[in-house]
Amino acid sequence: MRRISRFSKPSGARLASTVRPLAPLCTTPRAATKPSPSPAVNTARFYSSRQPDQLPASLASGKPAVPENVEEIVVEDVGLQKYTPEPPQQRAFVPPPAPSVAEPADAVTDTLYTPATSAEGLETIGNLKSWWDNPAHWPKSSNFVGFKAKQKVQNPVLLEAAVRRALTETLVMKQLGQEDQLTGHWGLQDKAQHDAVLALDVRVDSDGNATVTGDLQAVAEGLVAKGDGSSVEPTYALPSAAEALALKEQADQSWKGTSLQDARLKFAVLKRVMQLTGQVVPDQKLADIATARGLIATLQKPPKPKTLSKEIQTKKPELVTLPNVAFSPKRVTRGHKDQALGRFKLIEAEFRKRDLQDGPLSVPKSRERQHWRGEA
Amino acid sequence: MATEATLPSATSNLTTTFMTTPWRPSPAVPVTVYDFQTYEPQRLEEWSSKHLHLPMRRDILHLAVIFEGDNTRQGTASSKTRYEVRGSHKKLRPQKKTGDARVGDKQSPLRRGGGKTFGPKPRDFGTGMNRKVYDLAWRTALSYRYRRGELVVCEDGMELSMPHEFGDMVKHGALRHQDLIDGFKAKWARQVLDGNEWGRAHGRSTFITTDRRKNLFSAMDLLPQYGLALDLEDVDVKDLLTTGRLVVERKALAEMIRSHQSDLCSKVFINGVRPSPPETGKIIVE
Repeated sequence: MRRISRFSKPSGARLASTVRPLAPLCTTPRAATKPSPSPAVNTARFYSSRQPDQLPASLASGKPAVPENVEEIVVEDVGLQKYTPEPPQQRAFVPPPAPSVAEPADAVTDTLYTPATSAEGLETIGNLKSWWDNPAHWPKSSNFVGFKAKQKVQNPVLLEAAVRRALTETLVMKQLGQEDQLTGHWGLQDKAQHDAVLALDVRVDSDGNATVTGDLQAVAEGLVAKGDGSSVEPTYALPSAAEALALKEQADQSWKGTSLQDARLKFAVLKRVMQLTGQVVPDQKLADIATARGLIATLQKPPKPKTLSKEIQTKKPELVTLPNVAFSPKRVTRGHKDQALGRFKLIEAEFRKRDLQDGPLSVPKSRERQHWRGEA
Repeated sequence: MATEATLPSATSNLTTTFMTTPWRPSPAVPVTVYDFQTYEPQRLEEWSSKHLHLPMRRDILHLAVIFEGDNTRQGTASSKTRYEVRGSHKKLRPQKKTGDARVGDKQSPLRRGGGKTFGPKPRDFGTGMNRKVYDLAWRTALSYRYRRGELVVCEDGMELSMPHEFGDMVKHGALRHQDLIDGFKAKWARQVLDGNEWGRAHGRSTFITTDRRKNLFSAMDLLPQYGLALDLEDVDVKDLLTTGRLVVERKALAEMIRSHQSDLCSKVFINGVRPSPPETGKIIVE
């Protein structure tokens, strides 16, 4: 335990970092699967004079599309030394160009040159702080790619399809005796290989022991194959929801009884499911998962709603439609009441008339911090 | 009495089942160890339930946090009494016959610039707590995180790996301005944290390592809204409870538990042998 309170390090003490070799990252982009949208409630009565069928922005299921802030940034030539550019294949990131200094006005030989007297018409340049926000300087291909799928899959049918695929692949590796490969890193294959995995027949006996029949060797080779980097790596992770549903209806459901008591098998299946769906099963739930069916149930359990208003809308939508109840996504304050009555805009107008308040009445949360830092 | 009815047999069976099979919690719980940056599961281990699966004790956690808060107070507030304020202690004016109120000296607490009555003086606000209770609080906090799925254990040597191009650019002097280096580091760290669902949108994270890691710590200094990084000697119970999750280096977790299990292993030697702590960190799958 520390005896004195923690102070932040002075910024002047920061040093340029040393270089470490980059850990082997999985560079395969994942197939994006959108989570199933939550049902919008159209019949809600909200505590506002706004249109009742319009869901407030904080409750809308999808995030508003934020346009990418693409700015043309030119760097100030402050404190930069001459940089010899690297060969193009090594330049995924583009650093600022070497600084160049314009010749002084009195040394210009061009007779037509007239020194500017105002800044009007000059190009606006950014600063070095926002240099890497420009997509031309930091291409998307250089973004960090982790192990788990970028988009978390929450569609129950897709989750079941992912478990089926992960389980079959794991059983194949186990059956072929490649135990050491169970904890390794498996690549994502193309659709043909995915279909080959699903074409395998999984038979489960009464003890939950599964046997896979079919072309096991081809599947195993596809899993541990390392890309040579020359071609674009396959991106196929999961079928579409409709395809997964069709597959589910066709397939025999007995595979779900496969026992996952073997810790090694369970670890491999969970790891593959994490890679395919982005779903991480917490350690605490591991002991309760005894079969594939249990794993599917754990994954399919919807996450706890983050706010009470979302919980009411998803779990008890009948409360929102009650005729004698007004539903508000946030706590109703004096401001909301003024807005509902139409008084708020009058207050703002009066302020404006007296030149007391320009803009909305609310003060940003960070204003006080800005004062402390001496920024505003 | 003749009218007494016998209990149904099903109930008695149930009772005997409960009586004969007491609840025995598992002595160990599984812990997945991940690769730090990619979040790829590396192996499965078994840790003692007495370390990571203790029942929640809100009261003990409260005691520990208050104890830490007390001991963190500086206690340096100081004010001067009338006897410490500088100046002459001469009576300002005669007691009588001036028409004004009677006064004493200039340092009187009633006068401006006078001393402070009962003002603060430097003191130690520190309180005590039994070591075994404090250690229990420490492991209770870790157990609370484990149970909620907010304890991510990563492999030793947890450090933010930067892309190799970054090192090249620094080496060649292309990033001589600190803003460029900081901007790069912050953006990369933001991508890593968002990609692993550890960032701002997911409740911030506390990264705990055995010692200070240059890239990780400097990046987290730049991103206070994404979490914080602490080395072992800077961690206390309150830190374990604050952000959305703990991302802990395996060695750091083992050390935290080793140094906070005084209630589990006695210091007293019995028959020449000191009782050993519960076995923990056994590798199940690798």
